[in-house]
This record gives sequence, structure tokens and C-alpha cells, in this order.
Amino acid sequence: MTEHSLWRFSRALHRAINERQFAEIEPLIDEDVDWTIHGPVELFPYFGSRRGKAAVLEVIRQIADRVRVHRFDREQIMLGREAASSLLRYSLTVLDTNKPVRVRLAHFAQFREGRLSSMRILIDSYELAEQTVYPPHMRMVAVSA
Amino acid sequence: MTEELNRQRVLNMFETFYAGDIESALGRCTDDVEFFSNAPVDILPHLGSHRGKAELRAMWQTVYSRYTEMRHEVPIILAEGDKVAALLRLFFRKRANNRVVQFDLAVFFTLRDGRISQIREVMDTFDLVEQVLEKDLSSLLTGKATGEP
Repeated sequence: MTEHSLWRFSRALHRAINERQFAEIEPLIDEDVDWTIHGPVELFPYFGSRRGKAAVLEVIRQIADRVRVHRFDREQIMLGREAASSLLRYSLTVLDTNKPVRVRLAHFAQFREGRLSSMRILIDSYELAEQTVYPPHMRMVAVSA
Repeated sequence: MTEELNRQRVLNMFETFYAGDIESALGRCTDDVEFFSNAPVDILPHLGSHRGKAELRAMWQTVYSRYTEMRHEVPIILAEGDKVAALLRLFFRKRANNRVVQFDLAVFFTLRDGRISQIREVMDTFDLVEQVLEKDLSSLLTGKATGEP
């Protein structure tokens, strides 16, 4: 039984982020890949949309420059023929402040001939901002909006 | 076969819910349905964690009390065994001022005996809070106007 493309990609991605080894992930990305991490690009410049392998490799490098992954738990996972989706809880360290961060995210990945052709990541970005950039006095209060 | 059925069950639930038929949507859930949305409950107190149809009904009624119109698109849906994941694009029109809130939502369902027993949501909460409050929080935090380098 062939290993699902998600497992190969996931291993290579974590290796790229934690060990700055990009050789393994490069052949697993389609030339025409479409990649989006939904979130505030003004606060996290590695969020937003990228198109093409070079741009995606660059954004993975930017992420590797800023965080280390300590642990991730897949709370739910679904594997399709050339698609996959997971709900994950990540424990990270932000490198420039050495701050521990925990955040939940969901991803939807699509593969073409074993290579990543599309990635959509949704992240609880408010929680992330609170843990990384929010000064305490900026905490919001409940609204009825 | 079960996967295709479950996929269709979830799509049917979206149709009824976003058409405003909360009772029909609840009818597609188990009595002990669990709901969890990763959201800042200090700002959006109706989200967070709920259990059972009564709590889910109250939460959905709160959402409906705030928006006059809801539209949804399902760009991605994936099913495996008793689980279904969907990426939704949502358009909600605010009752207060007619402005439209648009956001993407990842929803993970678990089904039991053909009914939804667990719902877990993840979304770009920063963007949602900005749209709900109609405040540019990024500018407040960075001291820069949006688009300013």
C-alpha cells in the first residue's frame, strides 16, 4: 500500500521548519501550487496567498526563520485519494522572543501526482495574535455584534 | 458508500441551516451533539463550546438574531468513514447596518447513525473580529494604516 502524499509532505514540512532542510520538501511541491494561510498579513507577513513553487518555498523559509514546532496533535484527519484535511493543535516557539505559543489550525491539501497542488490553512489567528503581539491593555471586551 | 451518504447529509444540513431552518438543521444532529468553535468567547460569547440540541439551538438563534441573510459556498468537502470536513465561504448580512461579513470556515463533522454528533470549527478569527467590530485591529497594533509598508 502506497503511503499517502500527506504523510510525506507533513514530514518534509516539519523538517524544513525545524531543521531548515528544504531539499526534501522541494520535489513534493507542484510548480503551479496555490497556497493560502488565512490571517492578518500586517502582523504575520508569512500569511496570505502565494502562487508557484518558488513563492511557497520562500514562505516556508520565512516560517522556519520565525518558529520552531515542538509538538502537534492531529485532532481529526481525513484522507481522500489525492486530498487531505486535518484539524491540528500546534505547540510552537516564536524564535525572536522565545515565547511558547499554542494554536489550533485546519488545513485542506490537494495533491497532483504526489505533489502538493493546493493548500488552504485556517488558523485561530486572534488567539495567535493575543499570544504573540497583543499588549495586555489591548484585550477586547465582549460585544453584541 | 457511507462516505458519499455522509457527505450528502452534511451538504443537506448546510442547505437547511443557511436557508434559516434551524429546527430542520437540528433534526440532522444527535441529541447529545457537541459543538466547539475556536473563537474568542470574550468578544463572540455565543461561540465556544456547546453540548446538546438546546444549547446549539440557542447559539444558532443568537447568530440568526444578528444577521438577516446568510449565504454559503462549499469549495471543498472531504469525507472518510464517519467523518466529513468542509471548507465554507460564508456571507452574512448584519441586521444592524446591512453590511456583509465574509469569511471562510473550516468545519469538521463526526456522524453517528446518520446524524451529526460532533461539530468543530476553525476560522481566521482575527479577520472575523475585525469585520464584526468594524475596527482595523492590525492598524491599532502596528500603528500603521492598512497597506502601509
